[in-house]
Amino acid sequence: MSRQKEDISPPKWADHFLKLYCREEFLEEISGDVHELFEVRLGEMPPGRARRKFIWDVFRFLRWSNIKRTKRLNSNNIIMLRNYFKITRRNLLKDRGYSLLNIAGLYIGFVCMVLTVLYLSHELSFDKHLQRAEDTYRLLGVSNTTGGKGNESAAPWGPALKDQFPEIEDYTRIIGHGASVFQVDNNRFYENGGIIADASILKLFSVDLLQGDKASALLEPNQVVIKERLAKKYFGDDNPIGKVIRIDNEKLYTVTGVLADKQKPSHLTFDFIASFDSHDSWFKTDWFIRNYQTFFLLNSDAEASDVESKLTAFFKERFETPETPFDNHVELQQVSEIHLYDDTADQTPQIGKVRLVGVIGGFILIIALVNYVNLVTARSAKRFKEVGVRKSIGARRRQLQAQFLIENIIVCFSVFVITMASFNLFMPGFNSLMNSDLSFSLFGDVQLVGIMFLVTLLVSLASGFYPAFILSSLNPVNLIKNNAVGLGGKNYLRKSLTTLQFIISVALIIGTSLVYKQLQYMLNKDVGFDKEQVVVVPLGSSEVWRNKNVFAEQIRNFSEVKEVALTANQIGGGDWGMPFQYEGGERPLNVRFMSIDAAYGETLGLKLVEGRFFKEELKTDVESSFIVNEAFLQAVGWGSGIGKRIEMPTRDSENPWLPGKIVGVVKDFNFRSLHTQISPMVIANKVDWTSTLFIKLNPGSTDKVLTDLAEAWKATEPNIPFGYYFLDEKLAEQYVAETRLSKMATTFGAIAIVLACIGLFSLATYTAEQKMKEVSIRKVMGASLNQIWLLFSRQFMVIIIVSITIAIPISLYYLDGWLSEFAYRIEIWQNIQIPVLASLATVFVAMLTIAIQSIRLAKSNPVKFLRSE
Amino acid sequence: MPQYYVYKTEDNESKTMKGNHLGEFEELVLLVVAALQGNAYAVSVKDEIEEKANRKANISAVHSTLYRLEDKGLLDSEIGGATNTRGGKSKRLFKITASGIKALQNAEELRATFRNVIPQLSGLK
Repeated sequence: MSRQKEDISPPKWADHFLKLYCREEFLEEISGDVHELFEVRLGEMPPGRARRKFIWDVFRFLRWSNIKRTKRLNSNNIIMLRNYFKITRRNLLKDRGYSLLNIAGLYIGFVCMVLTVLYLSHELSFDKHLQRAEDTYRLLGVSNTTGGKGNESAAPWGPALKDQFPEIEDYTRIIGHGASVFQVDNNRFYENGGIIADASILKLFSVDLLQGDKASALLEPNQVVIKERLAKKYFGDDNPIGKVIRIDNEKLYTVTGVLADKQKPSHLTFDFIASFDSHDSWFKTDWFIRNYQTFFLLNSDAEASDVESKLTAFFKERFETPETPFDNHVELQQVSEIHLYDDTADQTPQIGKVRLVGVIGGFILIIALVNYVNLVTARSAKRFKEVGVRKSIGARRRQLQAQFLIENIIVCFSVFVITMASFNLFMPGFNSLMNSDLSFSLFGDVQLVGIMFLVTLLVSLASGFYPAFILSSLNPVNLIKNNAVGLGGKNYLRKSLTTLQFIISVALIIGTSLVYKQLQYMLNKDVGFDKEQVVVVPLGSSEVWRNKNVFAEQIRNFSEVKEVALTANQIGGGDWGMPFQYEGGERPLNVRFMSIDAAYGETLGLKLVEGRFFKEELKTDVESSFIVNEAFLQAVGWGSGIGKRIEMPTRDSENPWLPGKIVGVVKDFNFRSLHTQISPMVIANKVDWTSTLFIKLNPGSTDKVLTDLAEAWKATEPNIPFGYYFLDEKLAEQYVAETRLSKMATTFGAIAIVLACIGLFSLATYTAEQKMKEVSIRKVMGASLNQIWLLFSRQFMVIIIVSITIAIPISLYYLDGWLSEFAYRIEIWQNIQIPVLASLATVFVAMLTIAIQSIRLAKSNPVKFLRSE
Repeated sequence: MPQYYVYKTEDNESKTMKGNHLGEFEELVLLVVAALQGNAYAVSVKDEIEEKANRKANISAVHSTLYRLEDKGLLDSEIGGATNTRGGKSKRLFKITASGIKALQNAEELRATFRNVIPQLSGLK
């Protein structure tokens, strides 16, 4: 036994490690203690465990009080390192103002960068969390002639295609639930964000339930999965599973699952999902009415392009008739691409905006970095003497390089730490600016912190490079005489960096003002109808809807109500698409379609080009009268439309076309947002189809009218709350992307300009210091303040003029591209004053910055600088 | 070595002046050292705590507590004999000082004052 013990010894390396770190006065007893414990433990446990405990003990002794003090480590390197820290601190404190500018500039750049990276990584993460994201697709129909893409499909397609093609593993169909009234006991609220979908949605979109069984949650009719927020709202702290909600005052739904409020980023958002079989609509079995979105999960080894051509062939066979050739093909759109690249249904893909944020964020970082490098190099020139002395005492080149690099690393990493620590202060402002819901946690976003770390390292090395390698190469005698040959001089590097800054700033100012101008143009453009003071009330399937004419008549009598109209289509994208036959046309023309009552034209202030609006007393209007817009006349090539015959499709297979006459031509109005041109439109008088009230108020109406309306509503429909919105507010929402872009560009533009001015200021300061002697001599000779200012600003004028010359064409080129997305846009050449004003503003701010320096210079006492030669 | 002692004693006084509040673990260690009567060093104190108080104590925690108590002037120490089991390394033996005894008494009295006014506990006395 004892022999065996002697053979087993504690790990050698642990012993060495102990010797390495432990203070000498403690080493004897500590090592004695751990050895004794080891020996004792050998008797109690297997040697392996005793060894591990030994190592553990050694590490536990690694405490501050036990560690050797650096004073005992008599090393030159460490002493010098301490000296570098000391000198860095002294240098920073010597010119507090500059240090502050320098650090603040870098800080702003870092914060902007983290925000940008955070935003980009959020935008790029949409639908990437899907378990099989690369196999999940949305079904698109693409027109061969126009290239227009539609993302909608008919309900029977999904199941039929799955049966037909083994490549399709699963499908899910989704349709919006519209505004719905939830009722539990006597609590009634509107819930807007609902969808109806197949049970497979939970699997395809990797939606996890907090409560409930994912596999069976949506299989049966009248089941609903709700967000935690709704569960709290209606059921409080009770377990919501199995509870019943009455939706839209008719059907009872059983809650079968609860979703987390915060879902992973996805293009598809919802507050509740109702099971697919709960809804029964007349178009649910129709092969032609496309009101759904269909998503497919393909087999992992299936080729999407392969499936696309198979599906195209399938639909061609199904739909093609001798009269109507099938002019479409199928595309499968990867779900993870929808958020950024979706261009279906005339949408502008988001990617442009995301790229723009990336570019602007990158620009700001560049400006900040350029500033930092400029300031560091400029200030290093003030340290010739220090370098000279160090060299004469015997500092080696390597040591000097290390010193400058270490200084920069210290400063940059302090800024890095401050950025990381204070970053969350900026999140709320940024989130409201971008309408995002981002958050940042130091330990959660390891990748981001890693990227920041690398950038910091890069910046500190790049900015330390110049002083480190140039200064250290010079002759010490020259340095001490402050006569550095080859330094200072023309400063091409610094000048070109400053030019770059100004190019970016001027471009940002021009961009910001043009974006703002375009936004104002869109918000104020005459859209052909009067959107002010119009209250919109969707009727849904309420009692009011059943008695809509009576109700309309009732509120028309309110003193504050000027006119009331009924319509089937909300303005701003609620119009329908329909093919129309027309006199002399070979093929039907696809037009936009609206259905209105007789008061509509008066309510919205539409103007007629010829003919009349519908008349309530004319029964023939309902059956066979149409109004068209000017765009329609242009599309079919008619000079006048009155009395011309057009035919509307019906669902009756024996009489597929319903003929009618045009009774009026309305002046073009923008029934959609100004992103799109006005398309040909036909308007019918089908009052039965209407489902929305437009109420035009008299000028000067107060909120009282809204309470009156609500009361009138309640008298007719006590079970559904009164819901309304103002038309102009709703229409302004169409331009929310532009509003946001404009705000963002303004903020970032301002930051960029402030940073560029810091850069200019530092460059001016540097030049001022170099020119002190020249200016002093001129002053002695009698130069005036103006002359000195001119002398001084000359070289900066060159920089600014060059920047403006480069910035204007570049920014105008890109803005022209941006503007071309708008159907109604301002013309750049009519707004040429904007770049001119932007340039003047830049020149003004720059001159002001330089003036501060030149005045300081001009007021200084020349003796001070001429004395020592 | 003598130099080191000089440094230590100076330090002792200054620290004692700051007040000798005793932590729970400190008090335990102090009691153990007093109880071991001259044979107290880190390993034996650790063993004793584990055995009597039936709780795990890490050697380095005991070690630093011993030194902290010495800094406070409650313990005194000297280098003791080396033994074979320690790989020929000598150990530092601790013994309680007069102020250490005083600190234990203070702690005891403090408890007693509270115990006396708690009916459920005063019966135990």
